[in-house]
Amino acid sequence: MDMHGCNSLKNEDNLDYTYSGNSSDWQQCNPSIGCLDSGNPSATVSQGNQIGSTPCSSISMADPFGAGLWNLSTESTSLDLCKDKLQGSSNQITGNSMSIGGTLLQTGSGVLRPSLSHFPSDSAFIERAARFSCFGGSDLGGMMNPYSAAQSQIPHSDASRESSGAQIQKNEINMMEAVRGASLSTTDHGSKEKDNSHAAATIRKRPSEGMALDQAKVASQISGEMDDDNVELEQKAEQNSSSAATSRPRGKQVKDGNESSKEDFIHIRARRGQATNSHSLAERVRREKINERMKLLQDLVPGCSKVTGKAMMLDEIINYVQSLQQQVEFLSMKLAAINPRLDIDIEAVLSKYVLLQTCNGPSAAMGSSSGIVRPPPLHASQQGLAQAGLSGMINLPDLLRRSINAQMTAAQGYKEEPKMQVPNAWDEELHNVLQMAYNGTVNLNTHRVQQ
Amino acid sequence: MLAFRFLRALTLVHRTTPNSSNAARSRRIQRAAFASMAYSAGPRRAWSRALLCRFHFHRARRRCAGRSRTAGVPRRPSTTGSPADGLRRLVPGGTEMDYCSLLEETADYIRCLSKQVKLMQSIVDSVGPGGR
Repeated sequence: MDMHGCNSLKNEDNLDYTYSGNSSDWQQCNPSIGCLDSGNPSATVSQGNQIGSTPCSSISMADPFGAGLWNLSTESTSLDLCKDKLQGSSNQITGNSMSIGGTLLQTGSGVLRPSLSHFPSDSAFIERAARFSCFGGSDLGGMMNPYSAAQSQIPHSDASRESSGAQIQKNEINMMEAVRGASLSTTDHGSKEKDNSHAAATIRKRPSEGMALDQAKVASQISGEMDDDNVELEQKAEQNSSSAATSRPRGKQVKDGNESSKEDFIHIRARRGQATNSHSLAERVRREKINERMKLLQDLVPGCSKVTGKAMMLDEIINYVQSLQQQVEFLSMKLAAINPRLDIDIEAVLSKYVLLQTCNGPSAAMGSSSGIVRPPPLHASQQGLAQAGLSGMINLPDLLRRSINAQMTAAQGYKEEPKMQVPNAWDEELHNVLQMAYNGTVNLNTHRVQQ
Repeated sequence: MLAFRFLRALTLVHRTTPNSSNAARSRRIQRAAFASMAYSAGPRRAWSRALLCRFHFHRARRRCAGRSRTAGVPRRPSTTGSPADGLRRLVPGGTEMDYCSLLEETADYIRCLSKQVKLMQSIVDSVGPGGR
């Protein structure tokens, strides 16, 4: 094949478009992470991050969330902000966790949540938990009390959590949901408080789930970084985990709604038990695209609805394509054998058809040919070839009658019946062409006779 | 447009090969069918571009093939055991695409193929018993 260059070029165009589309979507989804687009990182940052962050253009795209994360850490005011939020959120802990999860998903925080998507491993999460615990003992104590009080009010969340897989994964999933929520809204400072409440709820749930082990690890890592952003990340993570745990069934519905409502962003919702780093996200997008296209193919290929599984589907598709190509070959053999009649005058007919098409559309073509219908029987007998051709052509009007619109009211002879409406455009075109061929042949036969 | 192109090609084939065997003519008609399919699909589709390229460079195929094999690096060379290998061989230009685009091209190719088959079938039916 000689199309390697052309194909690769086109594919590159597609990929570049997709990639840039993704990057721009990520940029909009994560305003605090300006590194995805070298242009105007400060604007995105200011939009999404009240704490502010330095432009991260130098940060590679491979770790955009981590970059944003570290940018947040550079600000000292974030610590105070977190403190305030934690204290303020304690009042909201007693709220219904389900509603929290729902609102969380729908409103989103938009500020720090995007950075929380960088939550690849348990160790990172534990580090954040450590930071949170060492962040303020008094605050933590003050917070923990209402948390524990509220904890009893959310037994269902525990059950849901227990039924879930690894909690870390849940947290990651929640983070992804938060990312999704963040992408849906602009920076919403008010929602941050809600998020913190969710975070608090998460903190509450964690001990009940046996996060003592994690907390022990956390304690051992207290000497680690004291980044404020990590604290906030913990909060966000906790928010996410709580929201995900409590609103898991609803989350998916919300996700679907959000996916349908926001079409300018590419929203990726991590499902349970799935990794959430950027590579996995891209993989998931790709997989969803592939599934979408497989569904399309399933509709195209008859008899494919019962078949499940990619391999079987592929086999079916391959068989179908092969059968279509064999049909084309078979029909071309047939056409080679049986079709010498049509060729004589079709060239002229088709050129006339094209002219008429360009000028007046099919109605004119039909109208002009109506007057020519009459003479055929007179001349058919006078030329053997014409007769044979016409006898071959006689089937055309039948065909046309079946499927072409009744515009030939004056048509007589072979076209007395009004034509039925053409179901497809190409059918109409085919029949117009065939009719023109028929009429053209008749016309030319007339000319021959006259000569 | 497909009908127009194909009928014109069909008549051309019949006119220019009155003495050749049916087999040779059928091969030409088949090529004409694919060419008209590709023309109607337009250059937006990778498979139609691949088909047209194949037909346009038919005479210089050897020369171009050598060039393209060295110059064109396949984006995703089909690995042995890959499930889409059969499909790549069937769809024109399929060896150069990633799996995602391959599925899309396959869908469009199937649509065009079925249109072509319907067209040819209707021609055969319309000529029908009146033929030789």
